[in-house]
Amino acid sequence: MRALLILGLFAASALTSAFGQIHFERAVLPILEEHCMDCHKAPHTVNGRTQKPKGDLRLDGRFFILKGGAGGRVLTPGQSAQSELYTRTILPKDHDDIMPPKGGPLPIGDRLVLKQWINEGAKFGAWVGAKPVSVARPAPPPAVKRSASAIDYTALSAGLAVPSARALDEVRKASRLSVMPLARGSALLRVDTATEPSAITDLSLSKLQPLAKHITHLKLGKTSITHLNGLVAYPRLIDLDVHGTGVSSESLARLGGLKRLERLNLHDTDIGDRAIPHLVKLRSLKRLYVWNTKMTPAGLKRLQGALPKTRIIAGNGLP
Amino acid sequence: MAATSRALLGVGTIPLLGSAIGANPAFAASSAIPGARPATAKNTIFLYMGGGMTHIDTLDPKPGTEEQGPVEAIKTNVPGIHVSQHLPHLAKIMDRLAIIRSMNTTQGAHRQAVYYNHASYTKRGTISHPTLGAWVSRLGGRINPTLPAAVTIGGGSGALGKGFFSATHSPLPIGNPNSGLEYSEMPAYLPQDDFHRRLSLAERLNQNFAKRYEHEVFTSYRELYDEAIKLMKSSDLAVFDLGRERDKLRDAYGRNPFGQGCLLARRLVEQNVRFVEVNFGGWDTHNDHFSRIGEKLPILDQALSTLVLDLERHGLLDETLVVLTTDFGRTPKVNGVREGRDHHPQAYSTLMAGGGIAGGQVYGATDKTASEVVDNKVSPPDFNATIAYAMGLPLDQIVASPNGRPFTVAHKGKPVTAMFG
Repeated sequence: MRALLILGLFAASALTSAFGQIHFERAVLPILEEHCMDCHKAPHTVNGRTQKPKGDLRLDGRFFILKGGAGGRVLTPGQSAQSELYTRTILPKDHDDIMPPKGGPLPIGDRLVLKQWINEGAKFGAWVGAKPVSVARPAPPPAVKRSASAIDYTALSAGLAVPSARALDEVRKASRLSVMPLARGSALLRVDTATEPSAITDLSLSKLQPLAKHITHLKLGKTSITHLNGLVAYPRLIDLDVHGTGVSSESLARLGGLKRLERLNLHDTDIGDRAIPHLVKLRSLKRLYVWNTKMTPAGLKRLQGALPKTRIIAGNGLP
Repeated sequence: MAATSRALLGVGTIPLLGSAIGANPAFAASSAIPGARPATAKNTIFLYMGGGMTHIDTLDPKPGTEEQGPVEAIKTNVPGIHVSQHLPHLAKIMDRLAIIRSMNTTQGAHRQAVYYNHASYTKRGTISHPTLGAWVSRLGGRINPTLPAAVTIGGGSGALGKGFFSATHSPLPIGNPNSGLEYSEMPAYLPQDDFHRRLSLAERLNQNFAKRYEHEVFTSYRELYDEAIKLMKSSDLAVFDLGRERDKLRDAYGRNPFGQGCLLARRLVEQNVRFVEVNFGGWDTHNDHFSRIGEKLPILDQALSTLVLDLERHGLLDETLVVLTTDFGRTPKVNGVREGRDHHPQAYSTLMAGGGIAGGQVYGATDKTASEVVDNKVSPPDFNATIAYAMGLPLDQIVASPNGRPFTVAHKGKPVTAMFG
């Protein structure tokens, strides 16, 4: 009896580290390898079929033992009573959930080793075992190029309330123009002619005033407007199109305060070189369309010199 | 007796109008639908090269290879980008254009490829899918309420249409751009009053039928007539009259159906038509390839370059997306006896300009011989998703067919957002 005890102690000392703690690699790993890993290891092929780890639990690597499986963690370091890695091994022999499920319960010595190892903190020492393979993540799509020319509409609509459907309808009926949010839920609006642009007059344009601060695009080509007096009230205007209208060079003076105007379409109008002092004030202008106006080549040259960042488009050489 | 004849008349009369009778189309409200995001393109001009346009002889030349054949490559006004010698006008305005060299499709036969390019779904016997123009009408609505949201110029009777959408989303077909919109004038013998009286009579005869058979097909048919009358009475009809353009400009586009079709497209987007398709066929050059493309490419070169410059000087290019696509490409290896190139769906080229697309760029690449895509593959649904994205249309909005199946504008296509500038 004492010999057995001494033998046991001797054996135990071989399985423990210098401090008397259970040494994982020498004491626990062999148990796992012999009784557990057939089912709880990496996916492998048997007879041409892929076997996945049972219960999605792998015990062939430190990462996996700590990770747990489909039912969650199986190991709570320091608490063997909370660790299924141990508790499932001490169930009654014919219990449904006993581990290992076949070949009888673990020998008592093995169970005790597991219990002690867990209670001592479940230290692995230097052992790592199988490492998780980093899943190749698909390369993230290239970030949408926010070029300098992209307009930040979100910033532009800061502080603006979304106009009500009724307010929009009233303005549409009164002005006879198409008034549409830039996108669903946007507070910013664009205005286009719907049909019969010649029916749109200065009066129609004035009906847009209640929503002026929301409007970013104002397309009034071929309408019957004669002046742009109301435009001082459009601080967020980015795109103004008055081609084919009767606006004069002088009326462009009203645009001076528009700090965000990027596109101005004046083709097919009578504006001439007298417009230049007003146009040079539009520092934010990126595109200026002046085909078929009364501007002279010399005037255009001067204008381009004063607005180096603006692309001025005249006839493009077409008839 | 009277009762019988009335009952007889109540069944199967030609459905005619509701609102257009006596109505003066004074103010018709725009029915544009705000999109999922601020759009960069309000309109799209969709140029379709029927038959499978060669890519190695146009937008993806491989100078110095045996495959290139006799066609040389020329510089463009963008350093580093070369195109075919047959496209000198486009070369001069490359800074407005974007070439996609990495197109790839799964469909190598004409019918299937044309279908896939227009519908973003593959052709199958169980349903008729709407074409891209019909989707634009359905998801984007009309800015101009009198003209249809989509028009198709050329293309023949086999073209895809509204699919399972209601009739109001049918792209309006224009056979020959020179003829304009035919049969749209009131007959000279019929005074206006008589016309209205006839319409009212037809409507009264209709009422019994309408009460008993409230069916979608019936209402949709009436809508079609409603719209036809509205259009006939409006001044917008003038948009179809190319005679209003200067002769010299018509010459600049080219006095051929494609050139004049492009001019009509410009007029239509000027009047806020959202989607205009212009067809140019005859690219299926299995035989006598080099001489045939030598004839066709100058037509394309002239029409497309004039279109882009004309849109630009009108101030329309910023908000009009111009795209060019085709069934598939053509084999880099010339087939021996017939001096031709055959179908090549694995790699081909397309083009985009305006509507927010950055000019002066090449997207994607093929290998040394233009046979396989090596970088940034783009499928026809991706191409269409890019168009829908530019127009602000919701890519994930499901529209169900009458039997409840879900469909989206570009199916599984992903927009090539990197091309926007």
